[in-house]
Amino acid sequence: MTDETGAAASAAPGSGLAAMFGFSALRWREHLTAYLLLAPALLVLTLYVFVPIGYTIWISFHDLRVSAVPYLSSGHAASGYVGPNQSSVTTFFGTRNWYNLFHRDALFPMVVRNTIVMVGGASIVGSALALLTALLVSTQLRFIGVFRALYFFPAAISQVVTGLIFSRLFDQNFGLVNHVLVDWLGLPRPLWQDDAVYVLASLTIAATWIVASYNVPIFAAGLSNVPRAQQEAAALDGAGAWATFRHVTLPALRSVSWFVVISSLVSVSQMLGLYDALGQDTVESSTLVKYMFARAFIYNDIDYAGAIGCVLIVALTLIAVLQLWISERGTER
Amino acid sequence: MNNVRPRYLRAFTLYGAALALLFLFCFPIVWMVQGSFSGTTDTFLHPYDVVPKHPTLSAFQDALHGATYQNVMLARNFINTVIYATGSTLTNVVLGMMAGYAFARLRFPFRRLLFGFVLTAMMVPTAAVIIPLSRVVRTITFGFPSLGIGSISAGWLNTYQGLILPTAVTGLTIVMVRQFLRGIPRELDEAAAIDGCGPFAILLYVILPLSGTAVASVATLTFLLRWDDYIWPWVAGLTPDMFTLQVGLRFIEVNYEQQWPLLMASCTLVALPIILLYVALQPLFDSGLASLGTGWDA
Repeated sequence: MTDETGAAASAAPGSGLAAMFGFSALRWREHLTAYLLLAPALLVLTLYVFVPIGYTIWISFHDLRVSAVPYLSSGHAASGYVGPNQSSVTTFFGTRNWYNLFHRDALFPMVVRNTIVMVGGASIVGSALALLTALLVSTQLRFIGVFRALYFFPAAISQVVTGLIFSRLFDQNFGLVNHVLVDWLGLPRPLWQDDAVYVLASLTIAATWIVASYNVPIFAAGLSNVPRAQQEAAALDGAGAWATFRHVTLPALRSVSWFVVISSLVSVSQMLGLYDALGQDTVESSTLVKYMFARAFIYNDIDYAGAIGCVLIVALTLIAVLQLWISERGTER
Repeated sequence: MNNVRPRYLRAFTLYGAALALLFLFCFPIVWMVQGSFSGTTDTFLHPYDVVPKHPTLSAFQDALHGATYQNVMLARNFINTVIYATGSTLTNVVLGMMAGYAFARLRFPFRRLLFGFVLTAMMVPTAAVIIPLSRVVRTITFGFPSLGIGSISAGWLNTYQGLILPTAVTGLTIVMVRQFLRGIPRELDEAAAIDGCGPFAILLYVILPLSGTAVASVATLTFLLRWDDYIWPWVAGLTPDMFTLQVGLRFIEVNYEQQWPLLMASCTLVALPIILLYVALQPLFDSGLASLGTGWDA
């Protein structure tokens, strides 16, 4: 590609100076343009993504004390905002936050377990369901376009709306789900609000619903890129539908599938809106994100919340790196 | 003749599966609409009728005005959401096109490194850094004082610019634009370069006229994501008049716990605009998401 640009540059008719420095002057101009075009975007990302990441790491090694009760707006949990007449004092705290998190905090292992169950369960089941749905919408059935459009509705509505809908469906006394389970099927009544296990289950189901719907178009696009000739060749060789799927379609969907699973892990691990609308304010069913915000806004423990945030960042980064490593190995072979 | 039966059977199975999935994906939404049209008596006497016995609009009235406390501002929250989503969409399109073009077409030192930076920004769980972000927005106000929306001097918290700026451009937007622009044939910009166009002129006169789909897809997807945003507007809005719809909805839930007709009507009001937008612009949402799954080579 360097050669192409070079050819274009040397072909460009220039004045004396451009002819003398033709190649490098154009090069230099391209570099400058690129940096100018990138500058605003990189400024935004630096200020509002990377500075907060740095601050999160930094604050987790400090003790932040606010001198008075922070401002609370009515009905709305606090905002991490220090009022005009208040001051905050930050002192170095060493690794005490980290020690407390990993050795003293009995709630933390529980929260991590909940997060793994919800995030892992919803991402894997949701992605599989999305793949199945995408296989269906990629067929040449009549009216399948209408179905495909309707399947995206859960992804279009927000997490808070989803949470509210599911909290009505899963209401342990008057909800439709328990009406079916108890009154129709005669099963024992699951306590979707009182039992932490069921709270987590309802959260996972709602998250699965969102993940499955959101990823259908992504998988469908991936499927449309699978070479049709290969599938037909496999079918001609007598491979059944399952064998064709297993040996032709699935390998071709490799990178799409990784993207879907990883981005689902990232998005489900951040589902605070869903938790606030559907989950309970008990630690037994909390996920990492909920626990972090509770620590920050209810206990006003911003430094400790920073340590929890770091755990989330590190865990997801490790998963992303692992994925990159696996897919690199896959392409080498 | 031998072929007809299996084909018929296949279509039958596939339509069955399609209908089952339709039930799975859409029934909860139908149930939301059902709840919003049922009155309080219906929710107690006939809670499981898909079509309410005595459909009523009173829940919508309550949702707009607030039932007992009169403290709900869904209309105001709607305006806030429109400002937030539109503002963020505009900045995302402009900044995203600029950065995406640079990554897709130009060659410059540290290109791979900077793109890695963008990918990292895309994958970082932003929820984990929202609290520090609120401190950044409170602290950094670029010299001129808050525009005075909301009466608390909290830097740019509780203001529109503070709400929009952190999402002014996202890693996702840049990556998406880059994917789209890579699909435009290079010969076009090379021809323009031979005619003496610089990189910026190529962006303006060659790439931009060809990226209608890219711009529209990025814009619709960004609008959807901003409309549904919860965590950042929740942290950035300090008073109910600066809440977005999602935060306002959560506020309603806290105030009117388990008053299902009111809650479901609020949900319907919050979800309706984005569903209508989706129905109108469905191909654009599709192509935007489609661009995400492909081309993951850096």
